[in-house]
Formats: sequence, structure tokens, C-alpha cells
Amino acid sequence: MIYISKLWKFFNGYVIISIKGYNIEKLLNKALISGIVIRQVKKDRNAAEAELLPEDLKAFALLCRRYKCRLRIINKNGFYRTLLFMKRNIPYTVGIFLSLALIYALAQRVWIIDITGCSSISKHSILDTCKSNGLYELCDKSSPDYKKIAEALRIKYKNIAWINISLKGSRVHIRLAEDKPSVNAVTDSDACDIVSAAQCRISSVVTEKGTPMVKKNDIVKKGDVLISAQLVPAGTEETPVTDIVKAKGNVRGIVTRNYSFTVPYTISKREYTGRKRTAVFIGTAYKKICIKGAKPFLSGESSKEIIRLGLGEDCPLPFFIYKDIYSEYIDKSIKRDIETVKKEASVHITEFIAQNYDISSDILSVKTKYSEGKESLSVNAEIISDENIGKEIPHTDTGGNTLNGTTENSGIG
Amino acid sequence: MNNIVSKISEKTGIPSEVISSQPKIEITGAKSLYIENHKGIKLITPESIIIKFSSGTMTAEGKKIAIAEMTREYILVKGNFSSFKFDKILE
Repeated sequence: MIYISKLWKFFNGYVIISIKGYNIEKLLNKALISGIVIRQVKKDRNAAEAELLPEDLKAFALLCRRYKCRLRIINKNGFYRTLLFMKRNIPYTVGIFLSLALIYALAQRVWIIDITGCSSISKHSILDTCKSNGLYELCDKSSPDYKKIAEALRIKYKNIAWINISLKGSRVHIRLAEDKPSVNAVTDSDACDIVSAAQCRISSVVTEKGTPMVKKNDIVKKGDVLISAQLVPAGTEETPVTDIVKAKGNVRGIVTRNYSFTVPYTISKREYTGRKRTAVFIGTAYKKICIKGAKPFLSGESSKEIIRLGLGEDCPLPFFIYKDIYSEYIDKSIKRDIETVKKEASVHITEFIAQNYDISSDILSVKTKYSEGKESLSVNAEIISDENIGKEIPHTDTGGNTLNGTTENSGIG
Repeated sequence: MNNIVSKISEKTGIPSEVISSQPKIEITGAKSLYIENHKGIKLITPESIIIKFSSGTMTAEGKKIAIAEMTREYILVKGNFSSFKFDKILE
């Protein structure tokens, strides 16, 4: 209601006046009796400010004279006054209308495409499919057929279980859900054996479920069954009772691995000269205009920087600043002494152990052999570790070595 | 006179402020005061306003008091009110 009143006041127009005198209350009361509508009366000591309708101004001025109050017009406002102002200031009016037209034109475009819910499908490929169907940033938002695009995406990507494309303002939301592939893992109910993951000497066998097929100090090959899913036959010889379970246990073995590599004496090192060139482009995701060009160096590297323009974090705009930064460098070859090369080899072995050995593995010894060549140092590291070598695989009736198909360590025969 | 008016109002169900000049006062929160059947204002300052009725006066005190709209029928006063006081109005 108050907004309608304000709107009415704006269309009707109003005058802001200042009154000075000692009988302001009497003046206001007299004005009321005369049928004058007074708004926004703010009085301080012997001065007051108020708003009047333009048609009441003359009558109010007469009353002011009678009550010896001084009246001054501060401002005249309203629709008519605004129109007059706009008529006198043509560039201002044109600017206002151009701004409104620009806002309207920009509001008819798709500014942002939000994609949520995709994990295996890349957002870039979804955007490409959308683009081929007429949906891209800064396209007319009424032209794409969103249902058709959703259908096209569903046909292209078979693992999309559900997809929804909705338009909210200038933002297109693509929400999708993907099918989760079934994991072919051994479940608790499946019968499985525990086999050796590497050739080793058994150091300990702890069986929770199943039949242990090896004992301490046995030498096993990769793929040999360590704990069988088949329990020891019970019952009578004529009618044996057998049961197959999911084997459980912890089998550790001492594994020896060899790791060979070479470390060159001479290495080339990039030394940056500090010279940089930057090429700047501005544009959308699909088109860009060069603002400042730059040529890459003959021996140099390049890096790219993309800055998305926007009005705060929540309102990104579909405009980007692309920067191609070229840095110059000189290749310098450095010859190192044998001690430095050996140190690097040692670091290399440590990195290999950190990357390839499980946290539960104990490294028992690392024996390193060096052989000096003309251009590089050959390194051979023998790593002996005590580690968990059991690996679950689905149970097979044959038993034995699951990799080469022999009945070795199968308990048969 | 007031008794007669109140009796007529009770019998007919017509609100008393309609058939007499009794004021109707609406206070919304402590920021807005709407008064019908007033007889003008006696005093207004940023800290207080005294409004006249046919049967007395009403004083509202507070801060930043200003008249939002004033016609012959009603007055809408805005401000941060702290107290309201009535003189002879409830007789």
C-alpha cells in the first residue's frame, strides 16, 4: 500500500518546502482545515520541512503570509518534473534509454552454463555437445531446444542416468546423474583364495579362515596359493564333506627385488635470463581478440593464464582475459663429480621405495652396486623387504599356482 | 453525550469512532502511529508530538519524530517512540 502511495505521489508530483516561523503548528492545523495534504513534516525549533502537492502550494503560501511564516521552495519532484528534465537533457535521456535497451539485449543472452553432477564425463565435452546443438555462452537464450540437447547428451553418453537442463534468468543449469559402474570386487560371500603376489620366502603365516598351504621358510612363486578357500575334507571317506569359504589371513614373506637405473654425469640446466614477453587477448570462450601481441623466444617456455571477468564470485561473466607469458632461458650443461651422482642415485632409490612399497612393508636391507661408465653411472639396488604378500583372488577348483596352472602348493597329490 | 453514543454503538454494532468524534489510534510496533479523528497538532519537535482531539490530547515521545502524512481525516506519524501519554481522552 505504501508503495502505491509513493508511486501515486511520484506521478502526481510534489514540492519540497521549507517553513520558518513561530506558529508552524497553527499554520499546519489551518492548512489541514483548508484541505491541504501535508507529507513528511520534519520540524526542528522554528523551522520545518514538508512536502506539498503542487496544486496546494498557492493556498499554503497565502496561509504562510497570514501566520507570518517564511516559505521557501527547496525542490520540485515528480513524473512531470522528470519528463521536463529529460526533455531539457537529451543526451541524458538517450543514455538512459540506451542503457535500458542494452540491459534488455544482454538479458536475452545465455551468460553462464553451470554443469553439476558429472564425474567421468568432462565438462568440456558436454559443452562441446551443447555447442553443436546451439547452446553456448552468449547465445540467444530462446533459440536452443533444451529438451533436444538433453536427449542428445543422453544418447552420446550412455552412462547418463538422468539429466535436466533448466534456464534461470541468464544462467543455464545442466544437472546430471551418472550410472555408477558395478565393482567386480570379491565380496564377503564369494569364495576366494589368498595367493602370493611375488616370489619370496615365507616369514609368517596367520590364518583366520581357510586352509594354510604354506609354512614358514617355504619358497613360493608369484601366484602360488598361500591360504586355500577349500577347508580340510571332513566326514567319511565314502561321503566326504567339503566346504568352500572366503580365505582370510595374513601371510608375510621376504621379497628380494632388483632396481637398476643410470644417472648421467652431465645434466643440462635451464637458466632463466629474466626476459619475459606477454601477449594479452580478450574475448569469450570461443573467440578472442588480441590486445597486445608478443613473439615467443627461440629458446623459451610459455605459460598461459586465464582470468574470468565477473561481478564478484557469484556472478561470473562470459568474458576472459587470456595471457600468454613467454620466458627466455639458456640451457647450461653441468658436469658433476662421482659423489654428487651417487647422492642423486641414493635419492632415486629412496623415492622408488616410497612409491612402490606399502606402508606395512619393512625394508630389511638395500645393497647398492655402482659401475662407472663413460657418460653415466649404472646403479643396481637389491632391496630386501618383509612384506604382506597375500592377495585375494576368486577361488578355482584346480588350486595350485593360479598363474601358471600347475598343482604346485595345491595340496593335491 | 458520550454515554448516548456508546449505547447506540453497543446496540447497533456501529463502531463508536464512526458515529462520534472519538479518536481511533493505531500503533504499529514502536515506529508508526496512525490517528483518525484528530483536531490538529499542538506541538511537534524531533523528540515529541502533541496531537489534539475533541476530548483531550495525546503526547508521543521518542526520537526522530516526523509526520509522514497529514490530512483532515488522519495523521501518520513515524519515529522511534518510547512513550505515549493521554490527557482527558479516556473520560
